[in-house]
Amino acid sequence: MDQLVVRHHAAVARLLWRFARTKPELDDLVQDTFLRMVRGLPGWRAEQPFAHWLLRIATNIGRDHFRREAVRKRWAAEPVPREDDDAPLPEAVDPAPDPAARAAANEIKALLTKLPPDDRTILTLFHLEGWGLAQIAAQFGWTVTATKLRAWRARRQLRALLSQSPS
Amino acid sequence: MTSPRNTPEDDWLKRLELARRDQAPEVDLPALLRAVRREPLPRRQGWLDEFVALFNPRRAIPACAVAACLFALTATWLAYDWWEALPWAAQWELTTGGES
Repeated sequence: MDQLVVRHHAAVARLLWRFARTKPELDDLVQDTFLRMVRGLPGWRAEQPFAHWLLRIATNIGRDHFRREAVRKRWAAEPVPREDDDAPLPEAVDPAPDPAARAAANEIKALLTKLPPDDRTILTLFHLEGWGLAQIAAQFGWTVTATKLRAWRARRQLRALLSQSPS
Repeated sequence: MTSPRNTPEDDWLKRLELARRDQAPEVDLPALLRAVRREPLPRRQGWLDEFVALFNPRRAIPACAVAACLFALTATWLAYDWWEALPWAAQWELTTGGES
């Protein structure tokens, strides 16, 4: 089990970093992914590559995280501080190797928080991870047509947000 | 200074390109390994597990009680249904002396 974690944790973290905005959040998501992996191991079929199966778990964890955030945002009496658009990462604790890239990523993640969770998931995977729509559809068991339609709507919303944003 | 042709989408694409280069921070691997080790490994379900689950004591006792009630009901019903035939059977036995 340890070998599986050591071997795959970097790939899982790289993917989930697109969904997380702080390091503790990333640690939680990665841990959730591996715990779900342990519970789901009896269901894994050997004909399916293990890494694909694990990344599928990770994307589902990422999507669930967005959904939970959306629910929290809807029901919270006061806005969650983490969702403040300009909230910087604690750089002293977590120095970014490329601060400009980190700043751009934070800005994009902040903008995407304004979209519904599934749209946010699609655009996160499409724009930040560079996945194709067919791959995203296969990942979540959606049809390609429905995914294309959803992506089109999400991009339209994003365009509207971009035209409103000051920069 | 941005040129007049720089649309919000152009800026967005530039930001995206930059954002894709952002690298994930290091995960706390020792803490992750500790959490994974604490998680109990689920057993693979075989036919024996399913059989045991089907006849586990919690289910078996009510199932036996229900089966006994059903049996008693059916048996009583049949006896009640056939009781009229019994005197005829006795008469037949008397006439033939039990020989067919």
